[in-house]
Amino acid sequence: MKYYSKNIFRTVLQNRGSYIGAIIIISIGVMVFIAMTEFLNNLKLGLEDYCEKNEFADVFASVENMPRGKLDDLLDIEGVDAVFGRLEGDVRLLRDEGSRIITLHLMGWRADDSMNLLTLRPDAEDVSADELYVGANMADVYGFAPGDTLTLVANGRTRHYTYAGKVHSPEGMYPLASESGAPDTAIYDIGAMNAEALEALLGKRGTVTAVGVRLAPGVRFPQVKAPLEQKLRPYGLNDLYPRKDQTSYNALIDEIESYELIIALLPTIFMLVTMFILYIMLKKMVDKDRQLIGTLKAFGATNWEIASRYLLQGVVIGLAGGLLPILPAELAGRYLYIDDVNYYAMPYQNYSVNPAVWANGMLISMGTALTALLLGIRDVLVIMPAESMKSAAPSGGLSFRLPRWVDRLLNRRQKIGLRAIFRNLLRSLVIALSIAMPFSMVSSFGSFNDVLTQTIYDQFLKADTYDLQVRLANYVSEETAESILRKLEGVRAAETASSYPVKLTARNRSEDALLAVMDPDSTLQRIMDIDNQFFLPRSDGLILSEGFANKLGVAVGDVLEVSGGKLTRDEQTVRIPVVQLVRVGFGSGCYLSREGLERFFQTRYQPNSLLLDAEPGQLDRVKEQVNKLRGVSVALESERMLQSSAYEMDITVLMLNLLAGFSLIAGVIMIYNIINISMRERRNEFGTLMVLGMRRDEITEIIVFEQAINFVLGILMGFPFSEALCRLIEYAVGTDTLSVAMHIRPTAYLATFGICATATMASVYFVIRGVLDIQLTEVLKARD
Amino acid sequence: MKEVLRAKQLRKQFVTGDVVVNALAGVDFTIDEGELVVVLGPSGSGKSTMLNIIGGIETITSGELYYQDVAVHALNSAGLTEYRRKYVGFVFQFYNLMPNLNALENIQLAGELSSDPLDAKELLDGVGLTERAGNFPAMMSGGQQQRVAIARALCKNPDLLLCDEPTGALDTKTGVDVMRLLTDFNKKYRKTIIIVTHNPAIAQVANKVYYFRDGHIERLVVNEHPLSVDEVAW
Ligand SMILES: Nc1ncnc2c1ncn2[C@@H]1O[C@H](COP(=O)(O)OP(=O)(O)O)[C@@H](O)[C@H]1O
Ligand SMILES: [Mg+2]
Repeated sequence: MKYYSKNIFRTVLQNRGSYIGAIIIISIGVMVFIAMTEFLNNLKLGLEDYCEKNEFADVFASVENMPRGKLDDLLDIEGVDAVFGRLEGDVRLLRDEGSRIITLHLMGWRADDSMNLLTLRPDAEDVSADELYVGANMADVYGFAPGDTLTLVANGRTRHYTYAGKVHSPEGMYPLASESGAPDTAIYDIGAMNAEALEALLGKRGTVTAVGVRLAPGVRFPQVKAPLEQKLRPYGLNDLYPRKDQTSYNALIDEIESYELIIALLPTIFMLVTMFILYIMLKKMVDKDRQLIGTLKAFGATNWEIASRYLLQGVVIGLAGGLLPILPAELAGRYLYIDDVNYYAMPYQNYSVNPAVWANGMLISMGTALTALLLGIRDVLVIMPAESMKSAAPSGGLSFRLPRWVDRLLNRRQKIGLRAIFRNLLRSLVIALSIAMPFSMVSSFGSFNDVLTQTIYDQFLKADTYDLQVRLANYVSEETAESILRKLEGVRAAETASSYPVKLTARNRSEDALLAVMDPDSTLQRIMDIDNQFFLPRSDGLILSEGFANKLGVAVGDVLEVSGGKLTRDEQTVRIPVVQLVRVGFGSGCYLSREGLERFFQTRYQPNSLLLDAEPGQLDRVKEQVNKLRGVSVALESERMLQSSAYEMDITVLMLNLLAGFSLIAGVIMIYNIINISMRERRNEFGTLMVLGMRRDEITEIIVFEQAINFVLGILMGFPFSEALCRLIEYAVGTDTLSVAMHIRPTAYLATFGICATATMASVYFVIRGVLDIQLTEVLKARD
Repeated sequence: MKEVLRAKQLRKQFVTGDVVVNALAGVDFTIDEGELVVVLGPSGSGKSTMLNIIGGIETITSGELYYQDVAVHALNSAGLTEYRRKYVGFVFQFYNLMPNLNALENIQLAGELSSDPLDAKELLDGVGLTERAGNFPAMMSGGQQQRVAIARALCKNPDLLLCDEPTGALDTKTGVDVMRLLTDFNKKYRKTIIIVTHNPAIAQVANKVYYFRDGHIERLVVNEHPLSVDEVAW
């Protein structure tokens, strides 16, 4: 059988383009797999390591005011091993230039901190009273250098500090100025200073506002929740949650989870494409060799002897596809890891390479190649020795009669092309599929960025039309808020608003949400769905985003149990019906009117934020005034919120753009290969036509006409595929606060169409050149 | 009789690596209109090479070849295509039918390339395959495929019909049927036919027989009285 192997080897050499193509695509898939897995594993390990090193608490609570001495009371609770308290507070950071409203979430540092440790860079044994540490990302944004003087404003008093370095904290990885939105470290980040100095600055001597709890081994949050609530309530309990709900920790876990879907999805797509190409290739090869195979069988060769020769190719492709991507994958994984470590301001960078992941990549590659091969050479088993004397009959073809008008419309060459399509529909279908796949993938993945940007812009330009959202440190009476608003100058329109962190429960499922209390008459803040339809907040029940509704498994008419530290007491919950579901693009996703709030919760409407729309050219002036206001926790410019929201998605965007790029590469390779393979098997056919006296341009016309029809077919098939992929993207990237309505603009379709058309034309051009290059005398020697 | 083909010192060299094969080593011949010519010779003697050159699918290394007043040796590839299209019909040893076209369509296809085609259906009747019009090549026996191939070549109504081992893959009886088709066409339309074969019996129906050896014409035999197919002892 040595010579048989030799024969196959020569065929492989002839088809080397297709093999290289298959290896490239398989490599891309494996690369995505290894890169993403390594990235996520390192991120997970890094997070665990960070939390462990910094003694990240198991349970977190935020209170208004708790005397430090009372912390030990919590140790009485069964299951609580250790307790920690810290003073924290938002203060304004003033910069000379510009009127940006910058907020530092200051955390008090003590040498004997035992939990939620702050990592200071450079390391410090002690922090003096005038030293200030700033979150790493903000420090980078402004380029603070040790020794710089920074000015803070708290309680209307201005004080100067010396910048001493950067501070990192697992709690501050994802510093959110408001519960909805994304971090913008140019205006909000953590900071640290000596705890006593902070007490002096905030005027809160001997008190803590943030509590951390270490649970005894095996104890879980629900077991200590009630006693903790009870003990903390006297100190103004705002929030109590386990580690998994800590904003920063949760953001990272969320990100990891959303990428896990990509890990599953992307390589699968690429492996399917590879399988498709390899399968077609092998099938053609076996078809071509059927006489030889029949002959060998007639001589007594077993199926296994023959099949094993082909399988060797699978092993080679599998090996190459498993080995080649390792290095680029590790580089990409490292890049993603570093990017995230920086985004989350993690102080430790430690990317380690895990050969077990390579092994899995190899497994995927091998599995793909061998599966495709086995499917492709299935026919080896059924070829009968007698068939060695004949070529295969056209199968699956339609015999057909052209309608008279088509008949008149087409010339002879076109009819030959058309006939070839109908006689071998499967071949046409395969070509069309090879065009439809990249068409749909490029058009859908490539549109994501566009749609995302549009969604975010629409939200800030049409629904949230204010320039500035001023978050107050506390809920205040409507009168107080109004009186602040009256004093501001340069404001065209101003409103008050409020929102509450709540827990929504339906049967056994529950979700944390931010309940937005809205004014039906508001012009600055409205509920809008992804089709830019507006909805008025209701007083008879909640309007929920579809995302929340799905997570909770509720529909219109269902009743939710709503509870929240500020709105309900003890274990009490309030039952509110869901009155409407809206496909919200971006925002809190849970809405109630002011009237509704007062009705369901028996409480007065109390705003905790101010919405300001500045007069033209007056925004800077308004910001200056806000900078001096007391009782403001943060102020958010909608312009910047827009940017940071978009920036937060940048890895996802990058991912999908890369995917679009990869699909493009894979698509071009696939289109060329499939067209080449299916034309190569017809070289003799075209050669015979040339011997009969058919001119090059006539043969070109036949092929071009045929491929044009396949192309149109492919594009037509591509549209439903695109739609399906859009739904998949929506599902994959949707979160509580963001959902996108994926749609593909005609221009994007047009561009993708152009790319696919170019790839097809180029492929057809090269394939035709190859076909016409045939040595005519060879045709006469060939047997089919 | 009018001379249609004339070759002067026709040479064809194949160079593969260091090996040079003189497939045709200076060949001269003339063929008249309406003649049935048979080319005999051992395998590898250059018969197919000569036929391919005459048919315009193989280039000439040196020498001259005229078809009527067309200087075939001077034609470029487009010119050769035009030449094949206008004057030449081919019957191949391995039939070379279009796998995706049925018998009738295969014949019609060739007719479409001609300005003066013969009727495809009549030709199919003529080769005795009326019933098989809708069959694809893969569904027919070798002899049936060869008959379709001949009908296809004839449909173009070529002035010059070239057949390379047309009966080589066929049993005797089928081979005789095929030969009968060819001689009938030669008689009926006065078309020139060149048949390459290694079967000496076929030589008896020819007007002229060229004997090839090592790229040379070793001998030319002119049959004043060729036999009809039925008179030959196959
Ligand atoms: N394409 C080719 N490349 C190299 N040598 C060739 C080629 N075609 C034919 N030959 C050589 O030319 C010689 C004549 O071949 P051919 O005309 O096919 O012989 P015949 O038809 O008489 O059997 C042989 O030695 C053959 O090996
Ligand atoms: Mg020969």
